[in-house]
Amino acid sequence: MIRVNNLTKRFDDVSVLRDISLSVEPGEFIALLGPSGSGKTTLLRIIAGLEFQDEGEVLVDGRDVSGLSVRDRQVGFVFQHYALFRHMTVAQNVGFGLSVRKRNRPPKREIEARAQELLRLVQLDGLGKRYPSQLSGGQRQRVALARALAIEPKLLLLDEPFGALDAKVRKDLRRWLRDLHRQMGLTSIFVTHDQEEALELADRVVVMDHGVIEQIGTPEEIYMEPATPFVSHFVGETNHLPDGLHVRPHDLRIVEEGGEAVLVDNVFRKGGVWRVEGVLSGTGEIVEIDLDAGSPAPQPGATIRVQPLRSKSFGG
Amino acid sequence: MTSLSLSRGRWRQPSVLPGFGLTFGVSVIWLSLIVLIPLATIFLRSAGMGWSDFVAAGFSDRALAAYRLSFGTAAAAGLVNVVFGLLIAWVLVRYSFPGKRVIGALVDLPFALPTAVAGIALTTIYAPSGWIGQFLDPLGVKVAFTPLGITIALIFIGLPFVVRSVEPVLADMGLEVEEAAATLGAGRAQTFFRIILPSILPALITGFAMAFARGVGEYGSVIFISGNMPGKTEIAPLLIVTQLEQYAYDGATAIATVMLVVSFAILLLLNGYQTLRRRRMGA
Repeated sequence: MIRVNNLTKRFDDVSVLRDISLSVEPGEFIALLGPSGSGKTTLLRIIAGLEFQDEGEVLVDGRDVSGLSVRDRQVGFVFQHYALFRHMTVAQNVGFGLSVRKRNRPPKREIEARAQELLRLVQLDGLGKRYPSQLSGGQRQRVALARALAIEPKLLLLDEPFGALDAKVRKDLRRWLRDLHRQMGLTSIFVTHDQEEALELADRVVVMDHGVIEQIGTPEEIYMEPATPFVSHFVGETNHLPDGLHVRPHDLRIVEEGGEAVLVDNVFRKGGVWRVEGVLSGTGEIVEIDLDAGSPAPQPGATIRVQPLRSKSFGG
Repeated sequence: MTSLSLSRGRWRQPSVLPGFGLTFGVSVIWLSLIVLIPLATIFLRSAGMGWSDFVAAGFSDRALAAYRLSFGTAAAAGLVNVVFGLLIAWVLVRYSFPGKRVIGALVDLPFALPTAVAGIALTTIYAPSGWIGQFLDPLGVKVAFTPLGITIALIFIGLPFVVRSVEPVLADMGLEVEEAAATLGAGRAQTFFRIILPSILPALITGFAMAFARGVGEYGSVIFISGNMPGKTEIAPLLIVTQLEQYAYDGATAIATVMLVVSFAILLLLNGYQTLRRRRMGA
């Protein structure tokens, strides 16, 4: 449905996107994951039509939309800081997209009814007469979402949608967004720097760094089979053992003989496991190990030997 | 704790910000010395006149014509400044171009320039033989020595008020809101009239109010370009000075009082509207 071919973008002399290609199937939920400066937001904004590429093309249903302005693309866009219209009520915000239509603008009453309906959908019914400043952050983001959905977009784009919210609200909204995406049969792309968020929500994750796509895959593939050292490092926690071995904390086991010697620094309970922090005797690298909480915890100061159950090698 | 906060009185909440008593006290004294007491003497003086004398001096035909001219030209100049001040503020906030700082400084020049200098310069340019006046004269447009000339002088004086009050609000608004409007299908005009304009309206009104108030009281730049014909191009501040020169202190005071009351009422109205709006938006 959406194809991005060989996209390149420069700001002055800095390349922010280099030869990006990507395809998104109808109904998919895609995460663009990367650190700040990876180009993920720029990619999202180019797909939306808020920014224009230097080279390459964006195809929607096989049609090149590169020349189409953002108003004609009918794309729902949710901004990190909501970008609500402060001087309008919540209901007016939601109805805005319908009220500015040049052709087949629905009558006023219908727009109001539609706004009510959408507010019910985002579980904010009854708040239509309030102003954005009278709402909490989570409520504002849901208004922004309802506003974006009002134009019945085929494609929903979200730029760090939960970035400005606190942890608990984030978690609730995350689950809720996932349900909404399924329920409405949307195709959605969202930008995040939070790997947990990407792995939890997305059907497929696009990991980016320095304007390049490092890996595209399901959350399972990204976590278990990282394609590059960057992905292994950025997604989930990774220990560096000698010989370029990358090992997850839960993939290390204590052994009597062989393995690597680790000087234990600190031991604490992390959810259902013991988290052991130590230093590799050989290289001085910091190592994190998760041990079954049922087993006895090693003492700080002790030296233990660990061996990877599974690992990923990226060469020396 | 409770007794402490109660003893502080009901005007103020307990706060970590120190020095409320001191700063508030100094503010009141300062405002009294600079604003309140001088203005109060005007009222005292006119109160001593007796009602019929006051009406005769404050509402004579000549005075009424002067009020109409002063408030009318100040309002017209304020409205023109709202349009072009907004435009200049927009250019200064949204675009970067060589010489932007120079333009920014130019905007403030009417603040700094002695108003008489501005008045003489404007008169020279707009007089029938002047640089611009010579082109307008054949078209039958007379600027110097007409209300139009007065308005132009007041536009010059009031410009920085509008630009400087709108600029920060415009900068603060950011592009995201406009982008949001665009993704929802709004055109440029719709975005301007439905999103941008309502957001900066309070700042525009503030700018208008200041430019208007300044225009009503403006003297130095106007007297050169106005021609000062009683009943035609005589502004109220000039009428006051004229009365003083004729030792008609009561007349001058009466006119001053009327101007003061009207100006204060208009500013109060504009401020009240702002407060109402702000409360409604819950911000």
